[in-house]
Amino acid sequence: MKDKIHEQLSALLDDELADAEQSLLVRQLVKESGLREQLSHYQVVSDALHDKLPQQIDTRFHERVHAAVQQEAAINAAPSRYRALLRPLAGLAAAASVAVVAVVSLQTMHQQDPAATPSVATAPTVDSYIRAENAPTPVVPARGLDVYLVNHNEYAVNRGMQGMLPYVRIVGQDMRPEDSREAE
Amino acid sequence: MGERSIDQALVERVQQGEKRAFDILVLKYQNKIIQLAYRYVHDHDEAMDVAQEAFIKAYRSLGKFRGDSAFFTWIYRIAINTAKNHLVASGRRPPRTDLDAQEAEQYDGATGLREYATPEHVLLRDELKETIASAIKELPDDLRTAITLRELEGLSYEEIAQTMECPIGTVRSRIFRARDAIDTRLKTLLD
Repeated sequence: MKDKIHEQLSALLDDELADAEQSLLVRQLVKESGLREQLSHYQVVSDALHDKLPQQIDTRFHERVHAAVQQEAAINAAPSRYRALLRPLAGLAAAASVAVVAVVSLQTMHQQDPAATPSVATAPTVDSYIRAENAPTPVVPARGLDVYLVNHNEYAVNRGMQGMLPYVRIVGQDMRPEDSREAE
Repeated sequence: MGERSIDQALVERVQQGEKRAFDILVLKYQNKIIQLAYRYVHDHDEAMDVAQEAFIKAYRSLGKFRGDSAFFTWIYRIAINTAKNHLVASGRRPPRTDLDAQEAEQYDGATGLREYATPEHVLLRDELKETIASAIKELPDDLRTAITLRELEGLSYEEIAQTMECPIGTVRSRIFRARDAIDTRLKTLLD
């Protein structure tokens, strides 16, 4: 059995191993340091015959490189931790995009039906703040689907439920009596 | 020849996260890379450091390696650049002309090394070479012919099979038995 594997190692060195054998052998090589050492010996023989030997033959050189690579991998682990920290930010980005969609779609609703009411605004985007500051005070009677959405959201928040859009805070604006008069 | 280059298969395994597969690539090319580095820096310890750095750089960049060139050509280029950078960093002037991978493959290491090698180091290499030569001499004819055709003439198993008028499996077995016999003689020196 050992001879068979060593014969495969010898053929591997010559790049004369069929794919199926090659795949199995490489798997074993990855696991067994003894096999790697044997391969290293065959390589020394081959390099000596080709006059490719350095002054000193260090059969443990690959182990030192491996240790350095492991160290490298440990250092590289740091960015992956950053990646883990970035995950919640990715959630925020998703939330922000949901908010934008909500604003856009609700604005569209208002444009389509000027009689439709209380304005439903979303808080978290800068864009929405700017728009809210510049926009005239919405004048809308509290009726229809928007009222239902606002009420549902208030109910859901009070009950500790996520509501319809978990990342979006929905606020309603009730009409004050003076607004009502101005609107008239 | 294997249907797919072993180097490419190993590279793909490393790219899939199997670090030990990189060890096998290091094993295959370490002597050549150390020898190449030595030709630039003329100091064995420095050559070892340069070679190690070259392999680490190769490992870092392996994700980008697409196999457009052979792995050894790629690693040779990295080793040459690493050696040149090492010379510049230590205030020495790198050689004007580079050694390309093919030249490095054909390069007779002994020619360059004799100028700088210290006797005790040469002794080890020469002792190894003598032991190998003596082991080959003592091999049965069929094993000696097979290993000579493979290592010195560079013939494929198929070509050796045609030359020796035997099946490819027999060639494979003869080459292995020759290597194994040589390795038995080398073990006391290498271990």
